[in-house]
Amino acid sequence: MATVIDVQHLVKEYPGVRAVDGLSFHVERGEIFGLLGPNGAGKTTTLSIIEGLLPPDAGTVLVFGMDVRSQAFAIKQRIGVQLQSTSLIPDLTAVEQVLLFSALYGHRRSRTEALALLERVELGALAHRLPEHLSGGQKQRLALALALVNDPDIVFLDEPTAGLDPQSRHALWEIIRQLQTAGCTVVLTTHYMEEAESLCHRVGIVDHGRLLALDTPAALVSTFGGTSTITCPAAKADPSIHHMPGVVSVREEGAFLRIQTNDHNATITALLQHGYDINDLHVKHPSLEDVFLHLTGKEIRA
Amino acid sequence: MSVTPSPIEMPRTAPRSAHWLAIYAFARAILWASIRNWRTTLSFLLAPLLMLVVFRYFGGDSEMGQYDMFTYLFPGIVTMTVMFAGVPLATRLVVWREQEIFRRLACTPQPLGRLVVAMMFSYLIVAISQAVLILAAGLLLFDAGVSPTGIALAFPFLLLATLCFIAYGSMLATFVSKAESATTIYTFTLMPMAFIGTLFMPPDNLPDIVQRVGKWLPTSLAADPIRAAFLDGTLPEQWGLMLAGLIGYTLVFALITSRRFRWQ
Repeated sequence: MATVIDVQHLVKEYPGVRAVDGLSFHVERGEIFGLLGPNGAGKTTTLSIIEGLLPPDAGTVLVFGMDVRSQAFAIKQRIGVQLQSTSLIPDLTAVEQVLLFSALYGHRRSRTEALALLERVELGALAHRLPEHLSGGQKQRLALALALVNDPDIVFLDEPTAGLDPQSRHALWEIIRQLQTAGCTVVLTTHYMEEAESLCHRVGIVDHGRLLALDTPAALVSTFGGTSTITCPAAKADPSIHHMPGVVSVREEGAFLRIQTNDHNATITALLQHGYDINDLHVKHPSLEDVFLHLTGKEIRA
Repeated sequence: MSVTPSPIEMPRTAPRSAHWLAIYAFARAILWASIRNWRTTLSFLLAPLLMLVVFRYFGGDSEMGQYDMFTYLFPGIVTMTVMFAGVPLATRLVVWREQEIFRRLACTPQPLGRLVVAMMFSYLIVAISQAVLILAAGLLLFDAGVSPTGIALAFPFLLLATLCFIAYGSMLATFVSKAESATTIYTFTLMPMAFIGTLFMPPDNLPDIVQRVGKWLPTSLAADPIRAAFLDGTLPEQWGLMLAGLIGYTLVFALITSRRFRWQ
């Protein structure tokens, strides 16, 4: 698979703070790549540098093999950007915004084509509305449509679902998946663990401008996630539980036992064999949240 | 790690005509936005219209030199119309910076400077149209006697005054962070310029030093030749200096804007 973005030893400093501190990673063609981290982790700054909006203080960023410092124009022709704020022009309708942004990329798009693009993000019926009459989710989808006006090879989405209700969030995820299926590379930032886990092929976890880990969500969970937790209704722990397969530790909490295991299937089978009631049993698998907790020692600061 | 661009990944450069298409589309979009936002656009005509009514019908028999008050004030009212051109522009520049619209535009391949110039051009068209409306209202509804020669002589000064105050508005926008501040500062600086200058009243009663300064304010540099053209169908002796002064102010304001302009 070809590398389309190559970031090496990237550094960006603001007065009194090093926003990006030696970040290195690459993005491959056709993947959905996520930068996961709390607010202030350096995700947006990193994206801004790759998009050619901010000059780096040190390090190199190549997009399609071109340096962002010297070839930002050529890069901007081939990327689509959705900022964290929707940044829509207040007095233009959805279809007018699409036509304007198409022209800014040198594309002569007809009104029919603009409407087709809005249909793609499920805004066809709202094409003639001003931004002030769109909901948060609809604005995000319009911002996404504007990121697609130049048929980009890479789309950058900065916290695309921040502040959206679950329904709008899932609708946007579906559109992002369709983009990837159509051959587009997607780079997104998020502080939603579920979003990164559900959408991304690979995830880089960043905090304080540093890359803490980078892999597929499953591999990150497997490497750093630790054990699964089985919650089993039982007031007292039988000593035999400690010897069941996979069990790491057992804790009594009121009417429940919390069992940490690294092989939940084997542990549940053993619990069943020992006559435990498994009807109300609950299993919590390790998640990216646990990975983040493990790597940073703190919960994500949303 | 090797980053190997395939032939399809080679830079796609847009032809030069595409840039002009982009700038034209942007200017047209801003113009269209002003037309759609017609209530705000027309609101800038309220003050000059009110002045036309007041001084035509309630001005009494007062005279300003050899002219009646309405005739003397009419050129100043038309000039004042274009002087407010900088207010909506300054507001829009600040709001767009606040709402990160310039940041979004910076993501496109178009240089932001060109887009801002296109925006200024749109406001120039709006302001000139407003001035033409006031001029037409004065001629057709309020019996203002201005000869075609007078209008032709005044037009370059009207155009330059509009440009100058558009540049002034964009300069102010680089100094403030809130849209309300832009409007307030613009009005608070324009009003003294209007009264110390010769926009409405002859400077005869002002102290000598104020007269000397006021003569070279952009308000006076615009109002004096426009008044001479409207009233007498001629230009003042120093019209060349006045023209140069207006161009100079426009260039200084534009230069400061280009140095200080930040899109975020």
